[in-house]
Amino acid sequence: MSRALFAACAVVISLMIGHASAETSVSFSASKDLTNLLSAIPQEFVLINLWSPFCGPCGEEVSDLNRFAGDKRLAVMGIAVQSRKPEREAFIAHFKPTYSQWTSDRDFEKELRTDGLALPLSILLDRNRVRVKTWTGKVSYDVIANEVSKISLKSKGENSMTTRQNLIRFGLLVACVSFFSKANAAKMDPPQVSKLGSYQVSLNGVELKKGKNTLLISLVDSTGLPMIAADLALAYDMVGMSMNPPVKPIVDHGDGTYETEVFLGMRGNWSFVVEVTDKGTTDSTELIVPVK
Amino acid sequence: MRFQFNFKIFFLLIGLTAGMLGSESQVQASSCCAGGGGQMLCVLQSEQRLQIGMTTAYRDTLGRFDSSGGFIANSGGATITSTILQVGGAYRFDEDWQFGVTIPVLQNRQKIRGQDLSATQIGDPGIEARYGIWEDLAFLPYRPQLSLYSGLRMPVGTSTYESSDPLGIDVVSEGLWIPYVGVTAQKLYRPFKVTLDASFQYPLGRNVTASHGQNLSTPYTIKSGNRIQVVESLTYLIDEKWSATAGFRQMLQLESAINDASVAGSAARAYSMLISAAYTHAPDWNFSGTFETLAPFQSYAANQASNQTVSVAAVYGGF
Repeated sequence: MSRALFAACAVVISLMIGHASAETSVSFSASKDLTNLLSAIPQEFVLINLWSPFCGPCGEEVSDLNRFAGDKRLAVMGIAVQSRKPEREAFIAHFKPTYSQWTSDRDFEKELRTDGLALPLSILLDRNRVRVKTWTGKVSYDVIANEVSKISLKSKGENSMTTRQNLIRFGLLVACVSFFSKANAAKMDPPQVSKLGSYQVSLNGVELKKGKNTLLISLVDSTGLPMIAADLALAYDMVGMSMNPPVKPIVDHGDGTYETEVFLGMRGNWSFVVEVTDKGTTDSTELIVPVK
Repeated sequence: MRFQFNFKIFFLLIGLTAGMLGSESQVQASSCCAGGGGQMLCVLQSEQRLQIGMTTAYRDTLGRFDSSGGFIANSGGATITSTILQVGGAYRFDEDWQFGVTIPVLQNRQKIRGQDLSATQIGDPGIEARYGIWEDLAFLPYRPQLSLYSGLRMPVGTSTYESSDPLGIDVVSEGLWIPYVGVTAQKLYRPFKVTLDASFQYPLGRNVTASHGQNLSTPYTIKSGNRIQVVESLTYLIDEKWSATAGFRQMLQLESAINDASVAGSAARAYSMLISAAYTHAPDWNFSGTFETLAPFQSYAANQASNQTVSVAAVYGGF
């Protein structure tokens, strides 16, 4: 057991260091082995690169893959297929890949090559070690790096959205009662039906004055239920003018009410255009509010 | 009544049989390996452990070429066709060595003078060992994949010595032990793959004591001429699944000997062209179809059957 642990640690360390100018003698015997190895790689992404000595483009892309040496986001793992040891060693001696090299058995090779038979074959795995992208043929450093960046940004965006939703819910928990009280305490105008009739909207128009204001928007759908997390857009301007006042972000309070900050520079009639997009259809309402 | 035996006609028949039979396993190997040559149905690529395959060929014998290259149509306007089913497999011992076996089953048919005759027999199985010397290295432009092979065809099927059929419909064998050695070289210059296969066959002598089921009053020893076969082929890799191959085969057979005396005019030669298409469905499956004909080199044939052969093969290597 201790020997196995030592061997596993040695493998992990060699992976982390990323050096393998000499071919490793470790072979995968099953996906389970690869799963254990991949889970030990600290980088967020892993690129599995299948190559063979008879494959010309396989050698041509080694220099690009070597550029990922020391990369904190991506680790490259080379797997030799359809080859014998002397030819593998000759390939490695000639092209000098700096990333780890492995061999695999036939069963595992078949699992990897489900997306195609051409070599080289590069498979990008994400942090969950799920296949997210496959390239057949020679692939460049820029293409791989761009894909990694794209996936990273998308992940961050999704995380941000999740965080925002969570914050909204948290804020709702913490301030729900007070805000709800605030919303109930606000004097709202009579609701107005949208152009397509998909919702009703009302504003706290009677409370608006010249200068900076907190605009409250209440949305209910055609059945009278509050519209939560609506895709809402607001535009406002003085009637007959083009003041282009600033539009601040709209805060969703999770109970059908929304809040934003508006700046009403002059007394007079102001036009508020509320647009709600649902399933690709945008329905709008224009409300005219006299501001004193 | 003393049996008179015409050796010239006999050797003509042997050569004809050799030409009819020998070409089949070669065709299948060519189609299996996308023109890779060899005598076996299945040849393993690196890392493949085990492969099994099957091929079905349809051969139409239009006639024969005599020792001078003159074409002689089938007598009596007979239609002579054969269907050859071959099953085979290959097994890899280690990175360098592999072993293969092929077993043919032949159905010969003749339509002559309103008669429809046929016979189905197991042909001559073959065994072969192959040693890989080099694998193709892309960065060395003149280093090919190189392998040596050696094998044996065993006279299991019915030959003219055992057959009692005057038309020889049930003849599916030369009746000779035929060991052979060969070399295959293959190099990938994407999208082309060039293959060269050369082999030498040494049919062992046979002490003939009977012919057509009858004992001979004067047994004799025959030694069929040694054979050299070279196949050159060019494969175009259309995409990762499809490939097309065009090949050229040359077969030369030296003069045969009876009781150690050469028989004049018994040498044989044939130049044939083959075209093949292969489809790789997955790393496990490969399918191919091949057409082989003596045209346009039929004028160079001697002591050979004039055959046209169409075959399809399927090979599975998912082990």
